[in-house]
Amino acid sequence: MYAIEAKNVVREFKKRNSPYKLALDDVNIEVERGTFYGLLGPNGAGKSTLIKIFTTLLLPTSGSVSVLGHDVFKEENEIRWKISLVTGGEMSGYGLLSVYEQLTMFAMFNGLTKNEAKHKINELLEIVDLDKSRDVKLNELSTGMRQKMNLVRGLMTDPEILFLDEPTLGLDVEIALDVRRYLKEWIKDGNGERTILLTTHYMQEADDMCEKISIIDDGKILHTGTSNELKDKAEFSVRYICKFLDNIPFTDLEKFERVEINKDTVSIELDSDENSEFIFNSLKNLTGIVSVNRYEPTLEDTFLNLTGKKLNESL
Amino acid sequence: MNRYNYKFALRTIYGRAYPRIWGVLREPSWVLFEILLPVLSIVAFIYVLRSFNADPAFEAYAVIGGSMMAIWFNVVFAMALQLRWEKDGGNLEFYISSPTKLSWILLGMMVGGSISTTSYTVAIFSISSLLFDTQFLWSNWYQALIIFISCVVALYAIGMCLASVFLKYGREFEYYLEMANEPVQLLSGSFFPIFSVNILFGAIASLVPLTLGIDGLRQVLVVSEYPTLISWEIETIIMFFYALIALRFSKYTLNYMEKSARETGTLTLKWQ
Amino acid sequence: MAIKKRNLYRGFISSLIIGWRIETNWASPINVLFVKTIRPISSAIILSIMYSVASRGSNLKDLLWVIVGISTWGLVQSQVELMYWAITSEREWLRNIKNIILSPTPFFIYLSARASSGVPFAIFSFLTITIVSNILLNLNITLDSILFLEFTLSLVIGLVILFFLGLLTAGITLNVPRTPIGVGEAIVGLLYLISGSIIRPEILPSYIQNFSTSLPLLHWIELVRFSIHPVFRDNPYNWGSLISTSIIFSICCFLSYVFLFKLSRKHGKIDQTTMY
Repeated sequence: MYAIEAKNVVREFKKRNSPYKLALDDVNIEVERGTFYGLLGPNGAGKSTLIKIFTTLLLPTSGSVSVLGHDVFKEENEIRWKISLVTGGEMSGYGLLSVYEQLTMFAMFNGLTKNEAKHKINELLEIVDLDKSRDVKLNELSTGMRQKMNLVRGLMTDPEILFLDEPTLGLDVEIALDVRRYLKEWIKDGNGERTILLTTHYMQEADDMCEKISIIDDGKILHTGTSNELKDKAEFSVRYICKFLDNIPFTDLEKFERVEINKDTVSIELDSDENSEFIFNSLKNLTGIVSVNRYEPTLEDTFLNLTGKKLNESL
Repeated sequence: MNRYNYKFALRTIYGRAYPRIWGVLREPSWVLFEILLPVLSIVAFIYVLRSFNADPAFEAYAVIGGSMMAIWFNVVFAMALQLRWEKDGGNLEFYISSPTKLSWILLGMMVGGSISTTSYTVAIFSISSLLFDTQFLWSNWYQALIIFISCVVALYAIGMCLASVFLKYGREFEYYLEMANEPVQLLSGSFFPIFSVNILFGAIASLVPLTLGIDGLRQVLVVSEYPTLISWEIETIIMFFYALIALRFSKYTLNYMEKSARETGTLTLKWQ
Repeated sequence: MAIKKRNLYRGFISSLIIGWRIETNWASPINVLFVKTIRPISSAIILSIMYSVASRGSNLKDLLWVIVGISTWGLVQSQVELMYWAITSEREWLRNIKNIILSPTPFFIYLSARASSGVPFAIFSFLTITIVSNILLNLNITLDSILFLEFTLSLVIGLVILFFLGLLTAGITLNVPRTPIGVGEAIVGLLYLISGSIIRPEILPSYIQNFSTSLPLLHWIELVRFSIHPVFRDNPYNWGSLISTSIIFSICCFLSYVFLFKLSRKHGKIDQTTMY
């Protein structure tokens, strides 16, 4: 049984006084249990819409979706016992309650007794280094602390699937790294029983954390695979960027498939690493070389090849 | 084992009532305005009545009516609009995606809200009656308590039904609710005995539980003879049935509205 | 840096448009008209029924005195409310207040535009209550009984006074983030009782009377009464009191607003949210 299975999912939005929008167009996804799965795409791609469908907040217009074997149309209550959702930039909560009180309230909504909640919350607050802020009111928390609290809320029920919708949005680098590190440990400790579905537009985040990634844009899944499989989909397999003192002394550039010249820098993309030797041989005889760097494709390059546009990541 | 048992229900109700009660206690200035503003409103109406050369009994009517109107405002703004506010604040999606029932969460709001509202109402009533030295039949306090509790429960139950309407229809419906404030003041007879206007008018107005609650309280508490059509006992029974029907109905409206909102996508759309 | 006139104008118009949209709650114009009509009519009917049920005989002058006071106060409430409510909504829900203050348009221009967006509704409400009460209670207000020049002046002067009163409440609201909703309403509510709209100043304690007389609201409401019906024209109207108190009041309110605005900046309360 897959953790999540979506077949031919379509989601339309039709409202008066608003243009028609096709948010999801024939989406097919299969997420195996125990995996850290990523949905990578730019803003407006349909990631959040898909996650809302999986977390029973939204119904598809057509298609079928099952989460842990339960149909989202008919068995939403069964699903809700087993999942948790954490979104980025989340400012929910009651400002006058403390962190502990807020978490206890949600624990009770998830069927935990007060003692169970107390034990779980204290344990998790210590792990995310928020135990000293236990009694701080929500309206006094910083963005980073708030997101850590949201993460505790998501984890305290020990869900079978944790849905993360841009969880590191707006966090500083250090806290974002902490969050990512913790999530990797959490899924590892689950011994195959815990699944994470992460949506992000940060290429590096998807690359670092996800075992399998689906690239989504304009409501369509463009390609699915591991990080390395997706990188193979880039237009090139290796790129050399050579910087010179002034003029570019390189000749025979027409031999290469894709060359880009920018004042004193030349970028050469090769379909295969076999031609690298030719570049090194040519460079041996040149003077005025400042630097030569070798790059392998990133997910950004894959995205560019698949869609013709950049991912617009900010990290 | 049925996971949706009474213990889970009680935990949910307690969980949601908690911020309602403690939030108020942590912000005492809020309490001041929840009491001061209705008192000012009562003072204003009493002076209007005095300018009309009204019988002093009308001042007692105004104190009761004005105090009870505070419940209506609380039901409307703290109950009916609550799910809309939760949506705008980002809490609603977490309520929905949690396994508990939305109706239990609303019950928690109702419990928390009614505790705070009851204390405000008692304070408003006490201050207003002290200010104007209005005389009440305090020997009938237990009857007044029964009527009051029935009215509060009935109104909050209606608030629960309205909450689901707002979940689906959102912003534009809020407009109609705000519009209803003055008509409700009129129909409930907040500042005059509803049945002295016209029997038919009074009968139609009795469709609003607040009307029955105010009328019942006036019957048992006001010293002078009070013109009415229905006895307070019957009014209490009617309010009790209102509450039962509204609570039952709210379960269906909530389920229907949630399903409908999931289909149209309005469940998580803010500022809609 | 001098603010260009174009910025002020553009800022005012943008704020006016957004104020209108918020005031109408993004509803359709027909719905807006329906709601804005029902409320004042209901208020007028409440008053009429109260009178018919409760009154043991009241002379026309007393009745008219109260009705005009109540309908005028609707104008006060809506105009002042729009100002402090603008702050509450921008700060607590729309979270836009920082962007507005950072823009080159002065904040009080924004507030005045927001208040202006409600002027048509406020005047409509005032007229509706007066007209419906006139019909139901037989108040004998006719077109012949109205002094139109004085009436128009009363509306204009009233709106100016209310603008400055609104600024004052807005300034106070900026400094009290934890109770944003209650402060403005409390101020308006208290003024309702002491400004001669429903309670005759003569029955108030002397220190309140003196305070009430120093405010332009009392004189303004008297002007409205004077202009509407000859029963209030036993003596010529004292323009001096109105003009002098209006000028002093407006200056004091504006200076208070400037001070309170600076105070809220100093204490970092401008964009503080309550998040109940």
